[in-house]
Amino acid sequence: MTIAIPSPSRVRRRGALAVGLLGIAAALSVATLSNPWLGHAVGEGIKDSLHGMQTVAAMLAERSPGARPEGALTNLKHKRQAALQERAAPSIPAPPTAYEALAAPPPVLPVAPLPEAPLYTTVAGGPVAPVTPGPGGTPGGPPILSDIPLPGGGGGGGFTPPIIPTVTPQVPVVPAVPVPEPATWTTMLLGFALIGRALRSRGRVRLRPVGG
Amino acid sequence: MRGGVLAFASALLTLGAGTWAFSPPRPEASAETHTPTSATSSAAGDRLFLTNAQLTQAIARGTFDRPVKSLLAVPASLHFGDYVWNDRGVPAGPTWVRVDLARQLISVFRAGHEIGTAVVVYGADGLPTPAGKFPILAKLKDHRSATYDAPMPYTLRLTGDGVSIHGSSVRWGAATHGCIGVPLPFAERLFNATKVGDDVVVVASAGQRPA
Repeated sequence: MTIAIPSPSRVRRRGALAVGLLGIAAALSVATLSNPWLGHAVGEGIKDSLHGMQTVAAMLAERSPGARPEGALTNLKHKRQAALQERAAPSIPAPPTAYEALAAPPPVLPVAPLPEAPLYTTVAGGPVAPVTPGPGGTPGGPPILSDIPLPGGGGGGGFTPPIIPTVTPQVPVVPAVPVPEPATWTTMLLGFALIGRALRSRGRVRLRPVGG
Repeated sequence: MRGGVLAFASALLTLGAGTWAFSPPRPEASAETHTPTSATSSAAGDRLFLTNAQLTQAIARGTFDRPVKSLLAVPASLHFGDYVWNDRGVPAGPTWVRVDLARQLISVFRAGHEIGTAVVVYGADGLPTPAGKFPILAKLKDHRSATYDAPMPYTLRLTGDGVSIHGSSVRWGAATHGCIGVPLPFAERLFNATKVGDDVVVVASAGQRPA
């Protein structure tokens, strides 16, 4: 007996045709449903064309921004952008005001006396200055000293010695460096290298018996 | 089988491209509608008079629950915050308001002619705006909500539990606790155009017949 078994190629072709048709149908329905304009054209446009005029619903739909989509209320992008703009404003550095410009010099001033410190130390060697009153002190001292005793000859000279000893011990001022020094870095890297070397060498030791 | 998959894919692609290509582009709103228009434009081209067939169909479908003579001709889709107000040449008469939640629109009618329209914001998903016919219960010009501690200028109270039409920030992605929010200038005009007792018809979906 002979049973007509469709050849596998024919089955395949028929399956292909079915899948293709299904695809077209699915695409059509998806396109119609997802696109309100096309859906409107398919649904109401044909009816309208029968009358030859636009329905009121179509007229209202034309001016409408559309229905509120499902996710419209969960989308906060708009709000976040506004908040960003609000936050951005205070972060812009304001130009220094006149008061700040006036207030700025004081931090510069302490830097200026530092180089002058050695000058005072040299003067410290000569607390003799107050001993020689008035005009004798002014030519003996450098121009800086001449500035100091201006208010009152002998009185000014008498004031300077107590200040001088306080300035002299300032010499060994070394600011602490917050960044690790090159030596620290080198030590750390060397440590890493040693760890790596140790690991590699140990691995080699382990592999040997397995290979053997 | 591979041919079928290929056919499927190509069909999807073709139709996708086709719908994209043939879908009418969203009309670009002209500057006239971007900036709220007032009653300065000419009355002739700004109004679409409905035929009997159109009106009958609209009433049969539940779009309107009473006769309407003309609609404002809005050249393009309104953006959030836009409104159109034009009552030039419209005689005095009964005023009513139609709120279309599905289309996010409000329309104000006087003597059968539409005199104003705007985009609205309405109740969030968990706090829906009720649909139905609500006569205006009260008008409160400078109202401040005690419940939400928020200004609600030009409030038109619709229900006993506080649902109202009021001036609001109408923007995309915004919603209310059940009220209907309209742009502030529109709210002022609406406030002046209506009186206590005028009907406000809230339609939830396009096909729904107002109660």
